[in-house]
Amino acid sequence: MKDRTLGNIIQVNPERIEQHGKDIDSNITPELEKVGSETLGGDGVYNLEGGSFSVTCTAASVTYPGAIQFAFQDLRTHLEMLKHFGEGIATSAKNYMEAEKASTVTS
Amino acid sequence: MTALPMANSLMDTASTEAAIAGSILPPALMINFEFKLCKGDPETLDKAGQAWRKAADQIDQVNQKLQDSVSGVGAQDWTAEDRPAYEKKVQEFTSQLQVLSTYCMVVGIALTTLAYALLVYAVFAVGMGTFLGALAIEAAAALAVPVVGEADYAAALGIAATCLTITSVATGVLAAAGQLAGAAFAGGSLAAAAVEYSKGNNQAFSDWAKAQEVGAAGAAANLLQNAGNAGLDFLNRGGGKSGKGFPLTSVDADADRGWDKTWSVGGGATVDTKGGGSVDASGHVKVGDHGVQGADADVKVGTKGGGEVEGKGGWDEDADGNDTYSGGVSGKTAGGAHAGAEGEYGDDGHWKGKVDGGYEKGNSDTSGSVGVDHDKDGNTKYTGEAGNTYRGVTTGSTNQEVSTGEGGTQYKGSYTGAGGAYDSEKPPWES
Repeated sequence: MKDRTLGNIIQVNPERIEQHGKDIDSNITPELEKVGSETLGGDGVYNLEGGSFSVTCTAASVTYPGAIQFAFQDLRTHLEMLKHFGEGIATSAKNYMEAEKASTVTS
Repeated sequence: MTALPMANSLMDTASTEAAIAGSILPPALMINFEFKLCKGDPETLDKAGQAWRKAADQIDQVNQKLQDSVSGVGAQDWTAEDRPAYEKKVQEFTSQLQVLSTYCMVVGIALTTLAYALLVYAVFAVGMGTFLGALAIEAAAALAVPVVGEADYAAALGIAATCLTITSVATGVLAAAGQLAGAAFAGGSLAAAAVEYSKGNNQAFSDWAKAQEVGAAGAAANLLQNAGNAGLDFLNRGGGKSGKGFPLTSVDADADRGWDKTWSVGGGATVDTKGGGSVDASGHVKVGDHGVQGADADVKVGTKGGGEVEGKGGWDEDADGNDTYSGGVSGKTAGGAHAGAEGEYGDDGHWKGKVDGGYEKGNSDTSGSVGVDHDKDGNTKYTGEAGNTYRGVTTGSTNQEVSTGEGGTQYKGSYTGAGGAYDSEKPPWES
């Protein structure tokens, strides 16, 4: 699609943009999700026993649950952001496609 | 291969040596108390540390893939003015994730560092325990000599008191390492939240606050567990299974929230029996969005000679609301025989069961099992296997498998041992 109305040439390939959105949804998002669900969410990681630190190192054992939950929360926030990226890209691609269709009909 | 798996046996040895020495030299009892307070699980800490460092690498890979994906949209494919705005958002996103990756790396390094600090302490403890053992022998010999020996005993007692001071310093060093790790976990997450906020993540501080709120239950459970065990360690400073201690030797408290936002809450206890055996009992309840979604219980009884009987049961509800019930019993005798049975039933129609048994004698180990597995689609698989090893080398083994279901009946079997070997998919009843 080319738009010369304002004197600037705007080039848009909606299919390629749409492909980028799908890449986010089907390749990138699952990989980030795996960090939470498998790597940090694995047994012995998210539920590390207080006793594993020893009684002497209680200072570490009481702060560890907050550390794992912070990582979980932060990952969830960024997964939500990725979801918005994917949705936004899909909407943009759709709008460009419709604009292209409209300009083809009128010309 | 690291020395980390050895740390626990080093600590047990040190503790036993100190407890024995403590019967002659009282300061050794306090040393044993400190040893017990400093026993952790370095191997588990290191494994968790590796997982955090792997998480850091995975986040970096996600960042790289996203950047590649954006730059993969060619310059000519998207020249509209919304592209720079989108690229700026992506840039903010990746820089925030970079902060999380760094934080994961810091936590991973802190966990492994602490694991090695525990190992170093264990090496120190076993050295101290051995020295105390030798000192106690000298002190006992001195006590056997009337009058003259008293001065020698007093000298040994003085040395034991110095050993206690040295041990307290070493314990203090380990405690400082624990505080450093704690600072990395808590202070590091707050710093990460602050940097992410500066890079456009408006959620960062509320995520941090939410994490502290949720993590508080786990923190309380760990504090409760460690405080309880500190008291029990003091009561058992004279030894545990030797019969001189308090019957309850350790407690466990859990309150962990997983990635799927499901809580696992429960606890357990280990009790030493008068005859030199022990009983471990634990139970947990899983609580999720739909209320209670599962429970498990496990009781293990060990005898002085090495025999053991264990029974466990559980119920679990999956994300689709299907319930699965499971249970099992197992046992082994001091003479080397072992047997077990376990089963599972799901209200989606699946069920399975397995019985196994075996016998270890000298260098020979013989075992076998039979099982049946029925899936929710109505397919059933029957399996059987048996084998023998001598000095770790397989002398004979067989595996048999029959499957029935939509695909008809299938067979797979293999055998190696006396008389030859076969590996066949032709059912024996057809030959």
